[in-house]
Amino acid sequence: MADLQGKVALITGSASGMGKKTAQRLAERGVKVVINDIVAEKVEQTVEEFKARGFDVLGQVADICNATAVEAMMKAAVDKFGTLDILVNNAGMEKAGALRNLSESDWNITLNVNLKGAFLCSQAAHGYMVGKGQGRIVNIASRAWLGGAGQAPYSSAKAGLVGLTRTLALELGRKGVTVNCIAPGLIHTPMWDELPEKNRLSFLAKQPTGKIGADDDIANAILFFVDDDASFITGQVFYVCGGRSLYAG
Amino acid sequence: MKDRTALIVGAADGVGQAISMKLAMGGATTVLIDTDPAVLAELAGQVAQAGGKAVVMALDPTDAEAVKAAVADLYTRFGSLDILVNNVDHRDGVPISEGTLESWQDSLKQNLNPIVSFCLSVVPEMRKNRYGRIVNVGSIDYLGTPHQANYCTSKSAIFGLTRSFALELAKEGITVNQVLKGDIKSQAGTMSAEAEERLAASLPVQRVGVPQDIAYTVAYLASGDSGYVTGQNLIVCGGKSIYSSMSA
Repeated sequence: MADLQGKVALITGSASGMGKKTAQRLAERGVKVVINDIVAEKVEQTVEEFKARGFDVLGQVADICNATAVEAMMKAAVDKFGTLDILVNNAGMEKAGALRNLSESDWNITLNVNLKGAFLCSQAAHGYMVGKGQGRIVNIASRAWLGGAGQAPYSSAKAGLVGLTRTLALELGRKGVTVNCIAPGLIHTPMWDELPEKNRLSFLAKQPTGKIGADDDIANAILFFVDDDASFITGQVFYVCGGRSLYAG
Repeated sequence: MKDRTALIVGAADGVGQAISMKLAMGGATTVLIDTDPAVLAELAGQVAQAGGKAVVMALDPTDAEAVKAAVADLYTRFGSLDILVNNVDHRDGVPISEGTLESWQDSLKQNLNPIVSFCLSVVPEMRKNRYGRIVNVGSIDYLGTPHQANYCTSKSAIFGLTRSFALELAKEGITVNQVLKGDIKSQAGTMSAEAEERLAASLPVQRVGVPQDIAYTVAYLASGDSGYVTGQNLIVCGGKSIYSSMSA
């Protein structure tokens, strides 16, 4: 592991869940972190919490589907911290349902947040990285890109993110910017605890490990990819799913 | 990796040396395994000089009986075997015109038998502690490369082995993953400066890899941080794999 001290990272959707955990883990390594969410109170709360822990942090309330807002966010990050080294496209959401029940707006918002948002953020951020010949972009896709019944918009958006990852890796490789994709499987979130036990057991039965992963498992993988020592790894899709990606059914 | 015992099979080549050093610097007690005792002794000296722990074990990794005896001996000495890195790589590819059934059998013997023998001997010991990290070092050449089908076949076999073992051991705290190396400048390599420049220009990241690139990835998959990762293949190739349909 190389020294991450002093680097600057922007993590979208980082006021809660995996994004927040990743921001925390980076900050503990001395990284200056930009916390982003669309909900102002969540950003304020996380920023306060991080400041209380002595982290160097900036909050940015922005809709990542809006190009102007995204550009302003990147500029604010660079104005505050002087540079941008790491972008984690983590923000995501899902409108799920059987094909016949999905609306056009379900499709649009799911594609916009998961895919267009990552595109706009990468576009706005990459110039700062290319300028200094080094950068790290990590996209958080999902094992569901392989296909999931009732997940047409989400699976399509995450599959798009895989294509975006591979394409940007080819485009930015010569500029010292690596672009990789993590495909999480089942991860423990507040939503998980609200599921009926029957559903939870059915999910767990399909896990080769018999267990659910933690947000730290994803943060560990993100930290692996953003390290200086990971410079020869680009364009990869890496599953953190307890082996669930291995078999059919 | 502190207080873990790590076996590195194929420790003598450039990649094996980098892996051994990286794991030792991570706090593991390393067991350096390969055929040439002199090379191993020198490597163990370097590890010790850097402040790491290494013991050497010279043996023929294609000899199943020798592997079995060695693993039994190591288990007695260390009490637990936590990490197994299979880094054997015998580049023996031949074009179809020169291929014989023997060239295929020999590739499998050199490249696959050591992995099978070490896994079969080490897994029962890992099971006792309900903890283990097996990292197989393969090659991007498994995707298919002309003039070395026998070698590529032996590398493809690592896929089925890695995934099947991963599923079989998933509930026992033992992960099994593969790191696939792309174009790596190994110490034994005799690449000319022009050839290296040409090769670098053909890769998305515009540089040829070094053994440390592989060691970094192996160390992550050998660490406690990767417990929710199993059966996976991580290609460390500077982006060369991107055009292949088999790389996602």
